[in-house]
Amino acid sequence: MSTHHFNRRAFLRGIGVTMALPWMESFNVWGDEPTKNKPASEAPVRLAVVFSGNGFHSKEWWAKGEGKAMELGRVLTPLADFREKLTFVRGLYHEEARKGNIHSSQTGNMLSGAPIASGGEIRSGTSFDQLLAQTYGRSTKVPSLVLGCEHSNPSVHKNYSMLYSSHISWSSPTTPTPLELYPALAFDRLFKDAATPGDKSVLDAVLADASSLRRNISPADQRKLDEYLDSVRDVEKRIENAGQRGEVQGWRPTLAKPDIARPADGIPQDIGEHMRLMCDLLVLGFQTDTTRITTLKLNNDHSALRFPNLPSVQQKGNGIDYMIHHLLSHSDGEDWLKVNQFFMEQLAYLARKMDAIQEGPRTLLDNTMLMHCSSMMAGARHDNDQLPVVLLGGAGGRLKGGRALDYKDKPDRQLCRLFLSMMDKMDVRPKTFGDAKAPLAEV
Amino acid sequence: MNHATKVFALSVALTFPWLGGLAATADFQKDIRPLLNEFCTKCHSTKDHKGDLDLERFKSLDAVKRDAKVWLQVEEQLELGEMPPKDKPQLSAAQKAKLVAWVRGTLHDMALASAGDPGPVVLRRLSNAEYTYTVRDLTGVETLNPTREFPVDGAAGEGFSNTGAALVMSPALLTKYLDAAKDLAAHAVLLPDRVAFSPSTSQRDWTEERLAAIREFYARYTVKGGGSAVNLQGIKFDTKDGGVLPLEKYLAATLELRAALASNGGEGASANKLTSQIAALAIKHGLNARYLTTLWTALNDSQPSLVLDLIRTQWRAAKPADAPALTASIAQWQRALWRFTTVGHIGKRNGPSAWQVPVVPLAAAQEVRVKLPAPSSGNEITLYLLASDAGDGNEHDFAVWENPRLVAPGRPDLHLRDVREAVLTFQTQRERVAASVTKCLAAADEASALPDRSGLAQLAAKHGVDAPLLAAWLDYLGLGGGPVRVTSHLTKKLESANNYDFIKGWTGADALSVLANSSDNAVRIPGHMKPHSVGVHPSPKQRACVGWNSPVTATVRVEAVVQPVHSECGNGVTWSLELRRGGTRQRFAAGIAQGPKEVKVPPVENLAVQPGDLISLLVGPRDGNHSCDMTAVSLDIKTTDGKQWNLGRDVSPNILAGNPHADNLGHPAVWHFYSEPDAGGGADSIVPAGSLLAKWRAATDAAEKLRLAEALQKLLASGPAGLAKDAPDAALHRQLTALGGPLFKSQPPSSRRGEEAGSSTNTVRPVASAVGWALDPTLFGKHPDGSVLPAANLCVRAPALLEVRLPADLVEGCEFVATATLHRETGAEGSVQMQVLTTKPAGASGLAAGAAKELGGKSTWSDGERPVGSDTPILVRDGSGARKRTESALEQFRQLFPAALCYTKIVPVDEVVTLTLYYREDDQLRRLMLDPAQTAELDRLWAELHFVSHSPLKLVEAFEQLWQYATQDADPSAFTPMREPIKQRAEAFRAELLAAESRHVQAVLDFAPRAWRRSLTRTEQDELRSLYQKLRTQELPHDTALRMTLARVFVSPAFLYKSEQPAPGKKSAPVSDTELAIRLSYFLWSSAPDAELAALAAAGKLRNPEVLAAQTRRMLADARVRRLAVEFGTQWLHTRDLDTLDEKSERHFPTFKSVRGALNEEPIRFFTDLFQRDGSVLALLDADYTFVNSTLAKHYGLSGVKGDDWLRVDGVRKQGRGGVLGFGATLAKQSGASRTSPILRGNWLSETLLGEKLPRPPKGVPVLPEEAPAGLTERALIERHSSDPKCAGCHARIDPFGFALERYDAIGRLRAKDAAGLPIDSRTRTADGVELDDIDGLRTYLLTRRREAFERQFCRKLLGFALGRSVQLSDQPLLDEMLKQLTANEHRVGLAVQMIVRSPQFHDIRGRDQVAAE
Repeated sequence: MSTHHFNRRAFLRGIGVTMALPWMESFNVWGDEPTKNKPASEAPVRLAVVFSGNGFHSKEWWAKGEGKAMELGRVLTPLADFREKLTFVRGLYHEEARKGNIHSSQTGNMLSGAPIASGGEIRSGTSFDQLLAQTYGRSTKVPSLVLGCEHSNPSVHKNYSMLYSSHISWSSPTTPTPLELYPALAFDRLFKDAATPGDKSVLDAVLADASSLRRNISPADQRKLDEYLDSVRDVEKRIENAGQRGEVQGWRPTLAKPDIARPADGIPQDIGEHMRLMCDLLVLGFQTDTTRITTLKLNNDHSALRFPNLPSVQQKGNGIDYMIHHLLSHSDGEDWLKVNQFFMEQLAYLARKMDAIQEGPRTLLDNTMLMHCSSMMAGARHDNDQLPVVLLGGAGGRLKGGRALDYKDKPDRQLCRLFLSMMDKMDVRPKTFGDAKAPLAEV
Repeated sequence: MNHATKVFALSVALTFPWLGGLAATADFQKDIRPLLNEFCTKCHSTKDHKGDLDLERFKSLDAVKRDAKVWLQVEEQLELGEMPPKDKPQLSAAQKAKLVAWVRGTLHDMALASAGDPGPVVLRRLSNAEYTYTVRDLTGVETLNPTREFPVDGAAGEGFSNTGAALVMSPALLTKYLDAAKDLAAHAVLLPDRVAFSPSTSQRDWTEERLAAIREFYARYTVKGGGSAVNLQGIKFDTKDGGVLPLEKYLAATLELRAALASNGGEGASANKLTSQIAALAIKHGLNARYLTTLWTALNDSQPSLVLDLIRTQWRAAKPADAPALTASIAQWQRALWRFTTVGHIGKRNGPSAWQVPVVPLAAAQEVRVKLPAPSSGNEITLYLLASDAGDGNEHDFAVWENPRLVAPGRPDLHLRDVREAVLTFQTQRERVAASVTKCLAAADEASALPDRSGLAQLAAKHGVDAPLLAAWLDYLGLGGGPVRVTSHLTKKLESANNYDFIKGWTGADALSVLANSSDNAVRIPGHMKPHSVGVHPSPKQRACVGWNSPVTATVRVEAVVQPVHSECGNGVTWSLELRRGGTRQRFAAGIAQGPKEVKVPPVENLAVQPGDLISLLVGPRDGNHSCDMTAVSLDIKTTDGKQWNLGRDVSPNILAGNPHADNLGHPAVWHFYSEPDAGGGADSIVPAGSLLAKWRAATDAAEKLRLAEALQKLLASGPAGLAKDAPDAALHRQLTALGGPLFKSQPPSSRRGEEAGSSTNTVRPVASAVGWALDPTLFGKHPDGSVLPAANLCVRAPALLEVRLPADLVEGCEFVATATLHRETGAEGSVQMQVLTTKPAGASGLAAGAAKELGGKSTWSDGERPVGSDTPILVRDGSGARKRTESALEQFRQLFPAALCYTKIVPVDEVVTLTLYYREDDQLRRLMLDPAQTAELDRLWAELHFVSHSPLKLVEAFEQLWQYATQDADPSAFTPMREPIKQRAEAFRAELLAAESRHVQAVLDFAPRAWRRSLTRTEQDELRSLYQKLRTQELPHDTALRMTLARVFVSPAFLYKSEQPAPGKKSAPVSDTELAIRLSYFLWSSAPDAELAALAAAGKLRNPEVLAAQTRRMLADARVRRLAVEFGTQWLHTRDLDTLDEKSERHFPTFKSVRGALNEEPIRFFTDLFQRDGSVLALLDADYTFVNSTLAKHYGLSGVKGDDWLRVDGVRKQGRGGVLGFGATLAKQSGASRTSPILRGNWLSETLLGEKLPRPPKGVPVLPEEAPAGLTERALIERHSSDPKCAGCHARIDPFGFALERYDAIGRLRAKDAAGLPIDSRTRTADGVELDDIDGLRTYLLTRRREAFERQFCRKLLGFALGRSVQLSDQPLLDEMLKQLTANEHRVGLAVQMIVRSPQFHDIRGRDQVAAE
């Protein structure tokens, strides 16, 4: 086992901490600073990962052709306006996800491709968005924002913790990143100046507590406690950095302060409104350059959401309220399709908003990689031999849209290769990631 | 290995039922490896390791034994028949049996070898629930919910969210913890010597909490009631609404005690025995033993005492039911001897000294004034002059009625002595008046033409009438009086009011004024002055008047408006509109104006006026209270020929031009601004409208006038016989014949008497006997011993009752007035009570309680206290022995029976501006009832109130405000004496605040060990102190720095994590006692150890098995075990948070949302009850009871449950309930959004209740249609789906369970038909071939065929929850033993808990360097 020091944990050296990093062992560029090969006056590349659980309609997730002429399956029709900025990727998969059971064990590693521990343990892999947050994300006030629209389920299902079903972002192999479900609190995380007088002193004190506690506990406990140490240090850093923004030369975000009010407390009753608010916050975080990396989980795998707001095709005159998302996914009905489209409309909403924000010669969408994915192809089949992935945006000119890529029958079709490609566009270039050793040449 | 482990190891060796008693007999190399090679390692090879499984690598039994996990998996796959795959060569039955037996045997050996391993337990953060419970227990504040918006914790291990692996931390979460810690610290209340916590975060609420605590303290001893309102400038305050001694209960207790003593032979009770009897009685009735003793002693005391003797006598005669009557008697005296002041200004000059003050009903003399009542019958009014001996015998009791007389305004007094004679005189005079009516009216008719009264005598002579009588007629009729002269003009000029130079006017003393606004501006002075308006302000004793002196002869219409313009305060004003002419005044209208509304006086129409007539609008202070009495007035007079006078228009431009003031028409001295006394004002001599005299006045024809005059004469001579009482002529008759009437007031009968007793200069002799009226004149002027007294005085020896009959027509409108006193010489040592009564008293002896009354009035709110006396004082001479004796007797009563024990209102609002924020008066309570400890507690509560509220500092501000306010309309210097004490108290308080700072820091240091669940090192203590200091140096105030230090305690890993210190090396070792206590309390209460548990741990006693067992029992019986029900019970059953479940279609189940809270609660109640009463684990299956409230009962269709209260209902099995199978919560949770799901229910039963493992569903499962095709039941639909060979294996195991529960709909109600409207078929056949039907069949099946599996699953889950990890192979021996013990001990759930708590797993922790070996 090798030990790597990287930015995020560099401070730990000072207090004698070393980290064991299972699964990430293969990842050997920790010490490297991202290579900046973009002029400072250009807008940075942003990453937004949107996830929905239980897959899609088994026959209507497809895209053919190029550019304006691209044809889209019915699930994807809400994205029709963005065909020229759309990259459809077919046929990628995670080898590890094919083991274990049919839900949790293929969701908890959605963004890492890592093996998932069962039997009451919690272990996956650091997800690529969090990897980026720990390097690329350090230059913004909030390294990454992890949002959700559905509570996780505190139980163990078929020997796998349901944590896996509701967490795609992992800060470490044993740390699923908690999701923020409350729009108001997400807003606060972005824009509230957290520090009140004395915070810094309090954090210094408890950091010392933790360091002293660390000496007397077992190695396994030490690893657990490092989550705490890490977090305290992170919050301290944020306090230190408060008010120091703007020292970077060149590019300036188009918005200095949020232009929408803090959302109301609580969680909106209406799921559509909830998702819409979270989308607004995602865009706002990018537009103000408060964060560059956001994960938005629209629902859980194993989701219990219902959609009384969507008119049912199968039970005319009513909403799609008679079945929860997960069970609905076991069919290929028109209502299922309708729900799929509803999710894609959220993606379209994001794209439309981003595309309306001009950042120099390009729009925010052009500077973003907006990915939507799910942990299975079709809910009816729990099919994870190929995973649904669609990308919108231009990654600052590095991603050419208007294409439908198909890897189904190609070798080395690891989804982690796509992640390597995406990290590359943000100047983070690990030699390997998950089960992949090279990026996808075509992306 | 500790003792417990050894015991288990031994018993485990004896039975090991889960492996069917098999030992690993087969030889690995010889028997097993060949089988593996043939059937398994072709795929699960080192090279291919299909499914991540490499069985090839196990080359020896030792290698096998190092990897339990793999072989558990192998066992499971064989068991499920999953391996070898169906399309691969299969083991023969014998081969399979051999392989399975070997695997099991080997695992058995491995389990035994590692039994009791504490297992891998990773560092656990407090779960959200644990954090919340811990914080609530630490602070004692049950409403705190700091994790409300935290992300939901995950579950791991056995499926519980108390497992370290699932409890993560992140920067975002840490920020939430920091915010939560700061919020918790905001709930801290800083008290003088400690820090407490409150549900609230505001100083106001903290203060309210302290107030409530003090009131609660007072309420332990006192009751409410006895309110007495204080009327302050029209605002009514209740100064006494509590703090009353519950005297009746105490008296009843004394009566009970007396009866008890009597029945026990009475007298012989020893002092000790009496003390204990009193103590027992006090406890029985919730009384204060100390006061009960005092009361008992006083009631049995034989020392004479004036008032107490009355009570004692009554008490001795009282029966047990007489306590209320006794109480009433005492209350009467309490009212007489105590009174309550307003406390808002205690401390001001001449202000009250306390709230409850004694009344001293003693006086040397008493002014008696009695308004005469209405005649009791006919013309007779009776008074009783009583002189009693004041209850102490009549030695020296010579009482004198000095100068008793009848007094009426505007008339000379009529001495009581002279009444008999006056009766005769008056009768004569009335006859004379009646006889001269026609003559007098004829003369009056002529007199109306005279310019003045100079010719009156002549006129009288001409008509042969008495001149004074004629003058009286003229006055009454308002004739010939000449112009009215106003003599009481306001003379002082006011050039500006409140710095407005356009407000000017005329003023007198005490705010008396008439002001006018000459501008277009409306301003406040502080009353509103509208533009061009006139306002008047009375003084306490004077009316402010505006008068119009008619300059013309005309017929006019008069309009007037009155409007209080400072109506925010004050009690309003009185007003009247009057006409004065000659010596008469006629009142047109009068009333009270209060509040901002203007009063329009009804217009006076067609009033004939002549020059000199004065029409006035008068405004009085009302009840002598002139605060805020600024009143806008308007007076408008129009003649029929178009002339007009308007007060505002005429005088507002230049009011100071003169008083009297000219009008706008060129007449000088038309408007008069003057005052008159508020009392009296004379009888209203208004000729009744429609009466003979009114008609006479209106008549113009001489003959008609004469006829009317004659009729009137007749009326007066023969009386108003046959007329209704309110007929105009009846009223006229009363007016003209009354002694107080217009015709007699100038010459009352007594006026012609000389001072010499008995002599008379009256020329008219008595015409009839007056004997029987009043008193014999010879009684006056002499002492009973014969000596001479002043002539008008009446001396009696008490007891004496004199009956005085008075003729009503003579004395109507009079008051009886006298001075009652003791005779100077013979009564010097006497004591009497003298009263004038209107009803006859029962006797003339004895002592009357009387009532306190205020003497004199208060004019402004800054004035001091009014003197208070009794309405029935005991008359004693100052300095006499009688006075001393009486005083001390009254004080004895007061000491025993205070009217109130304490001032429970605490926050006084009995003054307009109150200067006492929190008033403490509980000296009576302390004196009579409290022991030193209770007094100390009360003192502490009060100190906390002042500390929390900062009242001494606030008082400084309040005082300044009051001062400002007082300068406006009162005398601020009254408050000067309060200034210095307030200032000093504030200074002292600042010092207190400063002194408390270090105690607060110490309080945080004392709190930290509780929060961190361990003692602090010296360094940690120093560090906390220095953090506080550091924050102070960052210029944070004490309060903030302290709260941040407290927040730091809450955000420390020592609080947030349950860390345990492992022993060095690889061996497991016991955790410390403190750590064991923490394990125990988080297991059973999801919270930190309470004081008792922590203390036992600290003392090193917890490891004692008996102590540990006793603590476990104690904790299981405690209400906090509800948390175990929630955290373990409902999380195991998957019903936790069902109250927020949003998975049901509102369209299909509109009632679900309203019942989900109750559905959620039922399992919690069930588990709580099970743990608390140590019930059987099997009750979860076979209980014939459950817990419901009315909502749930309605949902279930159970009858007879009302209200929101939860209760246990028995006999529910026959109604389809009882145990987990009948929980609506589980039935609903394991259903779809709109329909049931036998698959979900069956799967839940199989996995959750029985712990069965099912293989993963196959790929490519056929899709279910959304709705059952017509004619197909939902069940048939599933059966069709499940018959797919790929699915059948599992579904055959799970579906039957679900089918048996099909009679419950998707929200847990019983139903007869499914969603498709087809009849339910709940008959089914289990995978192991048992035919069963419905919930009963299923229950029986589980209790018989699957009892052990169910019970093992329960134990497994409970163990997993207790340990916070997955159950592993090495736990199997413990589970086996638990099963065995449960079976032998009625399946008591407490036993399962005890065995876990005793187990080495629970006691030990793995060594620091021990690596997972499962």
